[in-house]
Amino acid sequence: MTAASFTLPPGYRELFLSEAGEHLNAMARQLLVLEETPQNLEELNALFRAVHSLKGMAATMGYDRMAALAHRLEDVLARFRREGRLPAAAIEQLRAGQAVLEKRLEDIAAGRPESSGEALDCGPAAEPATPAGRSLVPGGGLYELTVVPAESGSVALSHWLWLVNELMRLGTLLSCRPAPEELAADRLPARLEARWRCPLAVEEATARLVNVAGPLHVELALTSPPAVTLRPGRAQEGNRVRVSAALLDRLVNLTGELVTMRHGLRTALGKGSLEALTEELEQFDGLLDQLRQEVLSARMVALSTITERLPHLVQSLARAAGKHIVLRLSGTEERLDRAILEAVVVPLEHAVRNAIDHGIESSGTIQVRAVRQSGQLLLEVADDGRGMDREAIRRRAVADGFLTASDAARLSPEEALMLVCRPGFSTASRVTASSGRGVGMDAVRQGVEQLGGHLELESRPGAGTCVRMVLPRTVAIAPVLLVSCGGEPVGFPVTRILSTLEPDPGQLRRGEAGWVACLAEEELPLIGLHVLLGRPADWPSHPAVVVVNRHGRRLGLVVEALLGQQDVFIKPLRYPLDQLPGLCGATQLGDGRIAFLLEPQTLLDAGSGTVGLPTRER
Amino acid sequence: MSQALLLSAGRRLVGFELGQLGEIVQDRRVQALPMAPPGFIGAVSVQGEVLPVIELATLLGEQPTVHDRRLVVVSAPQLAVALAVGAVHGLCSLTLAAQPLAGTLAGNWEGRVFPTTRGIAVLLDVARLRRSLDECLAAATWRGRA
Repeated sequence: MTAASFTLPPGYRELFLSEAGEHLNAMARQLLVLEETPQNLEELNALFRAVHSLKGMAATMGYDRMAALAHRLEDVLARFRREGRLPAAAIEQLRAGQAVLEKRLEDIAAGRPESSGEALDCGPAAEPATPAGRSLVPGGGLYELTVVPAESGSVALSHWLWLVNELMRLGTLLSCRPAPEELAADRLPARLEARWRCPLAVEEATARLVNVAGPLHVELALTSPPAVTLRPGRAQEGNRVRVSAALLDRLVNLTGELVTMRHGLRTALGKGSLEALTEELEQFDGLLDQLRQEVLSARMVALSTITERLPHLVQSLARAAGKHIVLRLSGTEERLDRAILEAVVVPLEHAVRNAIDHGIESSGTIQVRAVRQSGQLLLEVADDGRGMDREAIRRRAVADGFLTASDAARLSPEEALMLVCRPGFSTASRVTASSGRGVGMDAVRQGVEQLGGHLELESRPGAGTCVRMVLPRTVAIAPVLLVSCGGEPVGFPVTRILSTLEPDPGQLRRGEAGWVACLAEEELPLIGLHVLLGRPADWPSHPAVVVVNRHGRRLGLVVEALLGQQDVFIKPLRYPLDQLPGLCGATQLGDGRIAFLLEPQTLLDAGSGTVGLPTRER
Repeated sequence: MSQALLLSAGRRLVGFELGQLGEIVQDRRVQALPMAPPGFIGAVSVQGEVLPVIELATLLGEQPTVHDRRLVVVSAPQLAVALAVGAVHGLCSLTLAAQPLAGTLAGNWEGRVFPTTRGIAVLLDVARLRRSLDECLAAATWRGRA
């Protein structure tokens, strides 16, 4: 039986994906315990049950390859369960099996055929397959191609056309010389050069192209691996949270109360009593608030659901790097909105990898700690490694043209550290040589900011580094400051605003570097938000100012008017809107208008060329 | 026999297979879209979701013409957009299988074409539209500033 031979209701598939993921996480955890205590029968039995459940679920759903592999792993476990201990070799084999099962689950989730893991499929004694055998490059790799006619054989125009057609079919042709139009005009080229983005790995991409190239010789080089992309808030289609029956009961009761309330409102309206109507509306507000809280709490999931894979990750990476690293977890019982939790996995693991690769030299401790603080969650990854050298970072930033030496000298110690989060600031080799940190920190920062949070760094040479992600706990409803810009409303999450001002016209002055607000304690640089957003508008005669933080500096965004703060339901943005810099969501206002929500730092970084901000003065 | 919605985008006739279309909406208020690259002319709310309004002609490398008052909503798992087009002509049957016509349509030359009473139309699909959007976003001016 195959997955295609029968159809289960769509909900079953989503349930399968969710539960199979939990079983695989449990497997990873249990293997870690068994590695320390190979005779722990309780864990061995639990591991057997997890594999057995996976096998049954996969077989029921028709995912035959997954079921078959789980069956083989179950055989291995059954044998050692009888022997009463799990030897180290078997643990490695089971880990490899778990990795292949994870890959197959990813394939199923993506609607792809289950990937092969032939070595494991052939039998438990075979060599384990590694996840490195994946054929897809998530997010797409960037290739450079050179195509020339092979020494033997004649080349027709159709060969070139077939090849270019295949390139377009498999990926995105970013540039092509000669252009496809020239080929279409019957010009036979001597050589073709192209830049191509394609999700396939080099080997598979080469094989696909050679297949259609005929007498053409294709050379393919992967020039850039896929950028780490982090996506905010939107829960993937079909993702599930488990809701307790008690919570469902409370929701049903609240719905009942709302129905009663509607009757009360109608009665008050019928009587024409403003007093009764006001009283009913106040009660209605209270009920609505209660309902909102209950629904939001239903979306909350414990942090442990993503941190439970960290011990395995740390152990594998530490072993590969030849280091001895102890991982300590605390506060993982704290709960976050499911959408935030999913989006924070990548920055969290990135920070942990950085600590292993560049923070700790030979042995040390990584502490992952979560603390709730006034409605936000502070998620820290701290190591006791070599720390970062601020002066080395300043020097590197100046040398690479990110800022001038005088600007670098003016940076506070915190601002200097945050330089490692500038896009493109560091490569592994550079940072390892200078400061020992920084790989992909821009991706970590961007991911956290897209969630409406922000990133903080603390570090001293020889005293370790702490990467602190300050995250909102919920995304669905959040307080937003609405402003008017170019006649349209836009919003800022209030967590991203320092203050607001409505300065007197006399306080505004045009200096050499642009407008400033002359305040008692500072001269605040001002930028028209309409300029950043590319909206046709004049500098307002009585401007209002939203004060934000840009890489540790205060900066004022000039708007036409402050419309006020509201709790709004934030709609996540889908492709292609999620690709536009500075947008972190949207909301629909009471009058039906859309207000886009802006993330100030990303917006300012993206618009720095327009408004002449001092970044990357190369 | 499958059907397509026949549209005009610039000087080009375009067919979109019905299965990949959500709905046609009319007279929606199109709001400004911050940081919009060329071809992104605003945003609308359709069934509670915020969608970008994209000028199909620009995406196909054509000069845009006057827009129809209607927006064509493309709704697929990998892409949801509202297309501003020159005209919505209505449904047509794909009586003949659409054929590849490589090389004749600039920027869209791997498209398949099919005959209609108004002329030869190119058959677009979501994957092709997505690739054009990828290219448009990759070329956006703010990419170089970030």
